Amino acid sequence: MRRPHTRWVQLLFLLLAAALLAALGLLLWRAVPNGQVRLGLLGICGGLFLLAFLWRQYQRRQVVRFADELCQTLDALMAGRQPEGYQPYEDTLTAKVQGKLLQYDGIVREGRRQSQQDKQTLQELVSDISHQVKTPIANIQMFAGILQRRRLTEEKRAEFWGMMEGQINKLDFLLQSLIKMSRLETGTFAIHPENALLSNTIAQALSGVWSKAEGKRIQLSVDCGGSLAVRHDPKWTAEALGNILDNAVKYTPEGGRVTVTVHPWQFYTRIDITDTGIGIAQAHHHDVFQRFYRAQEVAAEEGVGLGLYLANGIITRQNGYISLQSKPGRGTTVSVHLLST
Amino acid sequence: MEIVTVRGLKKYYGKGENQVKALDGIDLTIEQGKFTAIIGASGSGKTTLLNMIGGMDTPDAGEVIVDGVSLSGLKEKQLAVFRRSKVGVVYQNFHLVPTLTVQENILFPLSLAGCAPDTAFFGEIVHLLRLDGRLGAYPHELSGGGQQRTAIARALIAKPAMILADEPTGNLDTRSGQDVLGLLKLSVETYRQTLVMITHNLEIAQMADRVVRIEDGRILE
Repeated sequence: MRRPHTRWVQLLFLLLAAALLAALGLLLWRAVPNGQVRLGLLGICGGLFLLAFLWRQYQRRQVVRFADELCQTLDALMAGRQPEGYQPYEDTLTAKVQGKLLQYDGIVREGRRQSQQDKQTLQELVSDISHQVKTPIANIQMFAGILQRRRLTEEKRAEFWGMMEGQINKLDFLLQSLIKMSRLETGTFAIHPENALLSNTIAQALSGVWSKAEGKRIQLSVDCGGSLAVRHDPKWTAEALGNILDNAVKYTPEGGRVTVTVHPWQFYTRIDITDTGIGIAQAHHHDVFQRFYRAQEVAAEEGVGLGLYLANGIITRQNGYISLQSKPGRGTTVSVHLLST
Repeated sequence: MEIVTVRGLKKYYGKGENQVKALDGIDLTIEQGKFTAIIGASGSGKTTLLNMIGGMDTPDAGEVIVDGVSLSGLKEKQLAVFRRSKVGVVYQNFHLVPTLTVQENILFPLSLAGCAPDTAFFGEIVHLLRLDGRLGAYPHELSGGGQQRTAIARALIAKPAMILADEPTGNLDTRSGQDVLGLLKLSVETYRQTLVMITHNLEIAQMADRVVRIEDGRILE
C-alpha cells in the first residue's frame, strides 16, 4: 500500500522537473541566438533526461527482482526444500542474503533436531534406568521369597538378610546416581558459581574416599595452595572431584598412591588427580566418559559406570573441561580444568 | 549430518623418483558440530588435507564437498567468497597483521567482505576469549597466548560454519596452549561450530569427538 505522502513527493518532483525544464527553455531562448544550436542543446538535455529515466527503471527492476528472489528463497525454505537457482558463493547481493537466510534456516533445523535428540535421550534414559534397577529388585524379591518360604537356620537367615541389605544399598546408590544423572540430562540442575576456596572443595571431595583409601593402604596426598580461590560451584564440583577420586582409589591396587595437584593457569585452574592404578587403554580414553560404560577388566568391581560421566557433565556445565592421560599398568591422570576468571 | 565429505583425494608433488605423495586417496566425512582431531607425523599430509577442506589448495584428483557443494566446481572468485563465509582458520603462527590493533585484526575479515560487524556478537567473543582489556593493543604487545586468542576471535567473527586449526597450540608453551585450547573448545561449543584441528598433542586429541590418524597420505583409524 502506498503511503499518502508518497503522492505529494511525486507531485513535487514533477513540478520541479517542469520548472527546471521551463528555466532551461527560457535560458536557451534568451542566451542562444542560433536556432539549430538551441534545438541541439534541447535535444541533448532531453536525451540525458531519458537516460536518467531509463536508468531509474532499470534500478527499479533490479530491486523488484532482488525482492522476488528473496521471497522465492523464503517460500522454498518454508516448504522445506532447497531454493531453486541458488548460486552459493556468488559475490552478489542476492547470494549474500540467501546465504544468511540458509544459515538461519540451518540453525532452526539444528535446534529442531537437537530437541528431537533430547527426546530420544530421555527415552533411552528411562529404558536404561529400568534396566539397571531390574537386577537388584529381582535379587531382593528372590531373597525375600527364600526368607519367607524356607525353613532356615538362624545363621543362614542372617546371611540372606545381609545379602538383601547389600542389594538395597546398591539400589539406593543407583537411584541417587540416576537422579543426579537425569537432572544433568534434562538440564534441570542449577550451578551456582561463586568465588570459593578450592582447598575446601577438594577437602570435601577427599572426605568421601578417605576411609576407603585407608582400608586399601593407599597414600592420599594433596598439593594445593590454601588461599587459592576459584570461581566454581563448590557443592557440585566436590561431587565431580569425589567421583574421580572414588575411581582412582577403586582402581588402584593396595599400597598405591593417589595424588591431587593444583596448577593455576591464566584462565583455567587445572586439578590433576593422579593414581598408580591399572590405567586405561588409549582406545577407551573417550569411552570412560560415556554413560554406563564399564571396562571388561573391571566388571568384578562394584559400580554402575556413571561416575566419570557425571563428573564430565558437571565440569562442562561450568564451562570447564576434563582431559585424561593414562597408560595401562602405570596409572591415570584425570585433569579437571575450571575456568577461573 | 556431515558438513564435509572428502572422496578419493590425491595430491602429489614432484615427478618420477622424487615424487612425494602428500595425499594418496583420502576418504573422510566430518560431522557437523563435532570436534575432529587430525593427528600424524610431520609430512604425513595433515596440513595439505586441511588446506583442501578450507578451499585453500586444489587436489590432483578426488573432490571435497562442503555443505553439499563441490569445491572443484567453484571459480576462483566463488572460492574466495566460500573461504570468507564458510571457514575460519587458525594457524600455528597466528598470522596477525602487525600494524593493526587487536580490534582491527578481529574485524579484518568483515571489512574484506564489506560487512558491518555485529557489535553484540563482537562483544561476546571478545569477552569469551578474555580480550576485553586488550582491544587497543598491537599484536607484538601481547603474549603468544593473547595473539592466538586474537586469531581465534578473528576466525569466529564472520560466524563461519567450520573452524580449521593447524596446530593452534604448536607455538605456545604447554600451559598457555591448554589455556587457549580450552577457550577455543568453549567457543566452538557455544556457537555449535564444527572444529577440525591438527595436533601433535595426544592429550588434546583425546578431548576430540573423533580422532583421525594420517600416515603417508592415507588415513588409519
